[in-house]
Amino acid sequence: MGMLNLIIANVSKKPATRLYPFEIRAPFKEFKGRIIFDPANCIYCGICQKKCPPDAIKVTKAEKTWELNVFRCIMCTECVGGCPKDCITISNERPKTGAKEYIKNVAPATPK
Amino acid sequence: MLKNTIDAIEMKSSADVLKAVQDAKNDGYRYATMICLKKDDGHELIYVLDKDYKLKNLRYFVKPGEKPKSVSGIYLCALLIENEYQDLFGLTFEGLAIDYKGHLYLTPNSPKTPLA
Amino acid sequence: MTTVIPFGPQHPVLPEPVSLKLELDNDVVIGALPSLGYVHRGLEKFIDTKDYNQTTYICERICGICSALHGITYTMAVEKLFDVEIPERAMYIRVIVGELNRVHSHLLWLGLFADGFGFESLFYECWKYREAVLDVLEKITGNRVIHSISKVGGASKDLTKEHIDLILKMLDTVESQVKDLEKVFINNYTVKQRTVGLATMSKQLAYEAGTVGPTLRGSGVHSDLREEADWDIYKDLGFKAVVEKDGDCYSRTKVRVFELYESIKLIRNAISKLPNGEIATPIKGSPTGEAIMRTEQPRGEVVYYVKGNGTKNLERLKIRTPTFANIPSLLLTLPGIKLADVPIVVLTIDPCISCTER
Repeated sequence: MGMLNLIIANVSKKPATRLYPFEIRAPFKEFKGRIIFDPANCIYCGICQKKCPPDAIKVTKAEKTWELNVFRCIMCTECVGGCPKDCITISNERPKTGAKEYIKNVAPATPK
Repeated sequence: MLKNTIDAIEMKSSADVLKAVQDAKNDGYRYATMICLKKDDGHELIYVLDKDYKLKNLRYFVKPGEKPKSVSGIYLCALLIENEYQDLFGLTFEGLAIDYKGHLYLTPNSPKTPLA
Repeated sequence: MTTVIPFGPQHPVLPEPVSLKLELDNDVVIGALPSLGYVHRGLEKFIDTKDYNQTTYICERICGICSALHGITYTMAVEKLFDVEIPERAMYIRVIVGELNRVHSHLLWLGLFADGFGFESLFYECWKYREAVLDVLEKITGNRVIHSISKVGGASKDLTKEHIDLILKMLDTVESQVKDLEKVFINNYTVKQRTVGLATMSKQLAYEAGTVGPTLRGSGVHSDLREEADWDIYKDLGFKAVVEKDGDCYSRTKVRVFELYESIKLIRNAISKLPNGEIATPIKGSPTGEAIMRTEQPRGEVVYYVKGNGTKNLERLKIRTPTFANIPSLLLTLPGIKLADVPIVVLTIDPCISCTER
């Protein structure tokens, strides 16, 4: 009898899965999707590089570059919490398929 | 320098370890694990035994080149951890129940004794 | 005449690669020899290059299913070296996420087990229910399986009112669903035929073979580290270890099913007692000394040994994972079993090979 109930319930209900590419669930608010870097306030201190467990971030102070290897990044958000100027934030959007391996930011040459 | 240490009974010889482990088994201890550390060219083994959530630790210093005796004759389950240390530290245990000869994890062309 | 056939490393019931060389007399196993080393990653060596905070993330990646409890155990071991009291709220958050982790791990295992004896629809049911738990974990921690909830000094994320409502709502549905599952796993004729009386381990044998977790408790030994002194918090939450006497595959299954209820009860109690306050204490300096920390994972007792030498990097990290302790019991239980039953017996120790080899 239990089995019959289950069959009827399963036939009448919507499937538990989604038809993925056509029906996409919105990402959850807390989801750790990708790292966003805002160069405006960055002082190139290198704290994020030191904290990063998989060594995905590379910062050079002299040339003012900030580079993130997206493929190495494990979304631990150590850099987000560690940044003294709040330049690094996390977005709940998933990176698009076929994203580039590196996010590179070279600061514009400062006017003299 | 070490602020926190774990309580452990120092063992003089490999035969003492065997005897102490046998006694522990008779007392109803369960073999939890064995820890191997590098120390002064040799290795330090810490046998961890458990009874009613209380740990009993036996510490034994293996001199360089010495072959410690295996406790897998007393607790069969010790064979995996002893084979692991044969792989990772290059120790040789005498009288192992099943001897993988240093190839439990490592293949012939992988790095030799990575943790030693 | 005996035949030797390999079981694994690739086998339909094994999610991870482990190989067993089975010695057979007709279709009865007379000897078994496990061989490991297919997923050895050398994580105990890898920590040389990382500081003690970063090692938390390595420990969480030892295993995908019990990741939260690996992280929690490691951070508690390091906190022992620092001799710090961490805020009570952080402890409660760790317990809540740890128990949610156990719920999804046990549901995963029940599904795999059902798959192991060919009960496909039950497999799908279990994994469908598990998805609700994973969704809640993703909502509260940001990731499906690697939660990173615990950091040295406390918890990395706070639980908000919203999160608590989500958890409680999910628990209500999951509890009723687990009741449905329980009916099948405990009463179903097919399940009983495949599991009752199979690979029986006596109390004495299981204890001396060094087994841990549900494998040990399924043989009637009252041993659950959540009752240990390091985990006072579980006493406040009214924890009771689940113990079954028979020692066969059926009773190991029963332990895991009833532990689901126990975990659900613990999460509810923890939420009702959740204290307010800070979630982390700042920690300065470098760890010195050595400490052993043990916790109860879904698969059993995990032993962490940490040794610091006054630098940022730990000198030695030794992890004894539950499957590592359970594999030798296969050597003792497999002889005398028919080849067709081997997958079921191997599955009842809940093998997690990535854990075992690290």
